[in-house]
Amino acid sequence: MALLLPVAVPLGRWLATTGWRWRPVIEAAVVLPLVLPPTVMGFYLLAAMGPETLAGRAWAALTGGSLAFSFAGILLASVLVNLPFAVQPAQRAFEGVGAALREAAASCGMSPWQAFVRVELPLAWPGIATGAVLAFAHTLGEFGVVLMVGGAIPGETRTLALSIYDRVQALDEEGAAAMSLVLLAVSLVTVTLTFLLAGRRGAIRLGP
Amino acid sequence: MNGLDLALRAAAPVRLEVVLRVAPGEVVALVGRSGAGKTSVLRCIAGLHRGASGHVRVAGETWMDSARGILVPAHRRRVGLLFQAYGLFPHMTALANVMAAGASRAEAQALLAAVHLEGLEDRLPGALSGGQQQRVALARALARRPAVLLLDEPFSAVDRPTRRALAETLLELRASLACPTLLVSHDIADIDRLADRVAVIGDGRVLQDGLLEALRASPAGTEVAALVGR
Repeated sequence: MALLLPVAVPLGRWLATTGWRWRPVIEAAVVLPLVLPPTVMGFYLLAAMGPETLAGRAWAALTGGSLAFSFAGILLASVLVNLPFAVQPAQRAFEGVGAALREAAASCGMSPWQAFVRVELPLAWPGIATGAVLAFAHTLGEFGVVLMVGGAIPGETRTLALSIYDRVQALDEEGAAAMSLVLLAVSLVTVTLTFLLAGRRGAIRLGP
Repeated sequence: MNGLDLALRAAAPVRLEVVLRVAPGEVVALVGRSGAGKTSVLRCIAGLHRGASGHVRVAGETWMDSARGILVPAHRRRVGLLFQAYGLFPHMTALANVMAAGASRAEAQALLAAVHLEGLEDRLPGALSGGQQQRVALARALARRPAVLLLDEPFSAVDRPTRRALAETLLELRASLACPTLLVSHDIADIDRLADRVAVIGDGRVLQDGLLEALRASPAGTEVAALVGR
């Protein structure tokens, strides 16, 4: 989440305001993980992270380890796969702020950065929070891509969702049930939180 | 020249060829049909529209000069801007909105009092009427200590009595304004009360410029006659 938001918020803001003609291409690329089968995403990510590739070699030079089948690798994969969940609500929220308020901020003497911090971010915050919570909930349940890129190494790249599959394969129904219950509870709480936040939309008040 | 000195040319989105001078403390009304380019002129002065060439000089500062490649960004131009649709920050109280334009707390309180909003400082815009919101927007425009005041149909979104009261407030404040003011309005009664001079805009050009009475007495054409007639 700490990695996802710094990418998703500026990207959402940019997509909401740019007049660039190729914007639909970037939008499509961001949404791609939603429509592609996880195995396809995983395959391409794995190929991109291999020890012979630019990303793989850069990572190896930095840390001496391999990017594929590592915790860092699935983290990177998670960010990419969950980007649409965070970017889309952020983009809609920034679009909702509108050009009129950005212009009002400018005529009040706020630089674009000040306008972003004092006007756009507070107004878009419910949308950003919704995206963050959705992305977080989805990260917990991520299965296909993580399996492809991470390889389910215990204590390293085996996520909860992978462990449940593993438990069922081992006919350990009790273990699978316990882990499933944890995922169900966390998901329910986070999604409820999302709706609570969405309901409070516009109720944020900032003092001078 | 200490007031506003303006020469604008543009081809799109609206054709413009406007030359205009406004003295400090003077109020000039821009009159014209919808789409004549009145709002585009204001947006060029405020730096919100960047497609035009020519120059914009205000109070001795050059904000735009296409020949010299000068284009000051919108937030560095001391402009008091009043939109038709208030443009208040919905998450800030009336007081915070005025302070957002650079006023201290005491200054903001004094400005809200000047537009007759005592006691409503802590309300959010959503809890104010249309007329009250426009008063907050006016206080905020003045809080910027503008070198030029731009009023774009400031009364068109409110009902008649509210409109009269707002014009009254603006008239009270007029005497204390040292900056040039441009007022876009369709209401000839408002213009008669508030403006020193009228510039009739048609098809992006100034068709005629002068006192309202003079324009009425000898209009330069049927377009001017139709726009300033009683």
